[in-house]
Amino acid sequence: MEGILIWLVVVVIWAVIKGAFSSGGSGKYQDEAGDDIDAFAISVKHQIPDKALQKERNLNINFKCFIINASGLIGTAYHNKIKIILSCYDNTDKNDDEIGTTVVTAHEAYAENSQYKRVFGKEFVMDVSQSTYYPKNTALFFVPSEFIVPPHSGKRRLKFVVNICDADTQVTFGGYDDTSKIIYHASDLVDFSYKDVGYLDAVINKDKVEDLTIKLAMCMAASDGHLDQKELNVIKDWAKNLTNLLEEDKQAERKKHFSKFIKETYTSAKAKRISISDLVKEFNKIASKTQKYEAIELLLNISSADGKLSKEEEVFINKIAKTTNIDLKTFRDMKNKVVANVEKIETLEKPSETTFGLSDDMTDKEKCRSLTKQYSKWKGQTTHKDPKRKKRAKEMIKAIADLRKQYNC
Amino acid sequence: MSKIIGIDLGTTFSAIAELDDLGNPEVLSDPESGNRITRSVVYFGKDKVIVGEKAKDAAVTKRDKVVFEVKSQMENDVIYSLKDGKFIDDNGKSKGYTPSQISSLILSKLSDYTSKVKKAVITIPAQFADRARGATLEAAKLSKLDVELINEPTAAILHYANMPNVSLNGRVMVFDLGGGTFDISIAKVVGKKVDIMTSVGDKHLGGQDFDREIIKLLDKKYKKSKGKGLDEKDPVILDIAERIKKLLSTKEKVSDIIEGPKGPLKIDISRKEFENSIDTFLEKIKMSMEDALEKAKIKASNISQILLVGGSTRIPIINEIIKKVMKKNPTKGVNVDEAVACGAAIFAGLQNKEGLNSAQKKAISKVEMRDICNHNLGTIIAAVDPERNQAMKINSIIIPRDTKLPASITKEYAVLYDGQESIKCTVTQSEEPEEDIEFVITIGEEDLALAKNAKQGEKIEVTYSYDLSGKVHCIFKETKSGKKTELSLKPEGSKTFKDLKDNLDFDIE
Repeated sequence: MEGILIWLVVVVIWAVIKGAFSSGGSGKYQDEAGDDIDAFAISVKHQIPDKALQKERNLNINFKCFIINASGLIGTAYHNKIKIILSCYDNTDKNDDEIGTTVVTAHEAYAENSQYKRVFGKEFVMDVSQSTYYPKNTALFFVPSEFIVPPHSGKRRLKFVVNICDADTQVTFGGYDDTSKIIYHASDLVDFSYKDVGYLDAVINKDKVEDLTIKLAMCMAASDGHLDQKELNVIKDWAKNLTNLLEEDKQAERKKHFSKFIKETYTSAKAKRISISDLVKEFNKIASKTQKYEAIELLLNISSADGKLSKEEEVFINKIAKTTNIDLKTFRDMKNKVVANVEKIETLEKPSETTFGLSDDMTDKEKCRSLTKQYSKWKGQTTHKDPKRKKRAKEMIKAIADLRKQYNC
Repeated sequence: MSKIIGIDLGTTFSAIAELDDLGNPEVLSDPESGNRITRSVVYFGKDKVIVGEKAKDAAVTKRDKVVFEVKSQMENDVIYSLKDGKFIDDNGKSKGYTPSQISSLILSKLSDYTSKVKKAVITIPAQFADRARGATLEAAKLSKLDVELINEPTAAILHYANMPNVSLNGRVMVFDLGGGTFDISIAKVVGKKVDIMTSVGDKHLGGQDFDREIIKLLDKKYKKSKGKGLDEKDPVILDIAERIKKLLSTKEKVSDIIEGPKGPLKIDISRKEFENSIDTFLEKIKMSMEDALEKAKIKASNISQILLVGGSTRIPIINEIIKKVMKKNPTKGVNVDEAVACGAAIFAGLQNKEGLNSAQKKAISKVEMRDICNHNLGTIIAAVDPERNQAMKINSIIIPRDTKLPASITKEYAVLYDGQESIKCTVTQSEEPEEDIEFVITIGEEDLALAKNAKQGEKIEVTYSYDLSGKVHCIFKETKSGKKTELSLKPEGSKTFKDLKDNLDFDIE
């Protein structure tokens, strides 16, 4: 989260620009040391920015980024303003000199409607003189790895392109309004292993993943021995929402499919004919991280549909969360929201240990510390306007205190 | 000569102090009863309002007309309904009194102990939310007092630091367990210079919780013997429970005759039974102490002295808990009921030096105090959770808790998308540095209309300023156009004192 905040909030666009210097006798520009200024070029590294660089740029990044380093001349005799445009393409199946498939931003990578799949790109305008240049290895952009999504998973070759253009150049969905406005062009390739599902993979697998999610949801609803209408309605609403953005024909077709599929799955789940391990295995293979979280969110919504979180439901969700390899802290935060809103929690044999993020590999001291943190979190909710949440917070604090006694804190 | 006073507006008891001619804080007694502390209880009689011990006595016959523990309602949107005999949600239709109005009656009673009050300082728990602070200021306004607020543990430490023959040096912990609230503050003290490092606590933990546990014990024993339980809200039972609790501080076992629905019964309560009954509260106290040490980034061994404040610190198990966590005994020898009011009087003097005589000025000349922000103040922004690959609303902290006051911090955000027309300027408050918006409280909200054709990535500057009295001023500014929205988080509007009088419900059977 922090990484993206930096991206959205600070937007790390940095330019170390030197002023104009006298041109050399060869017709090339020279820097302060009298060396020729090279043509504009970029090189891309995939790493955590080193400490010195972070200190210089006042950054605090602890995750891998694509660091786009620039060097060379960016000024011209005819421009006092230029636009610097960064793009990225998946070049895996192309020749190096071909442009490749667009890479999209993580934000909308798996959006249903293709118009929301925003092509990755960044740009900024700056003042230049005839001989403005970047000294060697000037870090120009920092792009967190998590921010971009290639079309497919596995080993990918990404092509980063930086164009120096007229200041009024417009780029829409990765395409330039007028390529003659490009003044300087540079690109570099970098190999990258993308572990999640690519955005085109997600399009191909979308229908299948949705069906698997419904199956998971139905198993979850049946986990406490009964399936009620409230739980079923949550699943139906979820499926209905998926069809909202579809065209009319496709929408009708998909709705019909879901109605039939939900009915069939209901019968299978009730008869316990669904193998959960096979289901999870298949789901994990084709679902993207986003789809996994969407499924978990659905499961959590079902668990709270009847106003209580049964121990069977809690066990089921915890198991799914663990096997889908999602981040357990994020999962705990998601679950806390549900826990805060349900009227009743059926406690497990060891009361709510997983709810508070305690695990067997923690020492008692660590558990005590973690519980104190959870206490501070829930304490703030004891004055919540909603009496249900107030009551839940008090119960959580009681559970925390009981656990601390158990660990002799 | 007009007076400068300090008021400890407590959950169960309140006290008022002023600086005497030599600059020493002096607790003022109720001229009628001679008591130095006053019950924070209000009775709405047929044609008059009574505050204090007599109000509590009235509860025996007219329970619904007597308001207890109004302080614990200060941050809620409720009114006390004389018809229902309890606090109910303020839906705008029902008749009743707001917590501010009821508190103003307690403040009026206290300020009557002296004359010509020029300026007052009222103490509040360090954990009081902005809304509760606002309600307290509103109460002061209704009682025609010109006031400033100070955190209770901060006031207590000022008193200790200013006591003759007391030398505080190093890191000091103030452990303040009162009737309804619990605060722990850690301060760096050098002579009379007090620098607050952190304050944590629980707004709903105090002696009254312990009374309720004793009532549960009494009820259980009565029911076992007589087959029917007690009326747990009976003021007489409440009174007995409080008495038993106090006696258990000095005795191992206490007996009392309980008049229940099936006749009288002698019930014994041992100290051990009492301690077991409050073990959840004791655990909360331990957690708060650990939390305070962690937030101050120090170890228990770094604390040179532990100062006790509040009547509930007389309970032996509380001292044992402190010793267990801190590995040292707390300092004793000061009146725990009066320290907060005395500290408030000193702070009042510091804030109004021009109103002091030369002896008073000299007495507090070396006193210096720096307080902190007790909450994280933030705003809600849109961000992408890289883990879930989803756009989410998250809370972004602007002024972190424990920031020294006064403080003014600016953070930059960005327009989310091209053509965005407005942004919602939300001011949030949280005890922990929460990102999850479900776990923060919204204390202010306004819209900022952006200039036409705003572009994604254009800067939005957000500046929060927090003054010494806890007032927050927030500015959300679109850098390019200069358009801005300002939020001053002032006390919420309430009914005036006149309205209060007009609204009095005279319906007493």
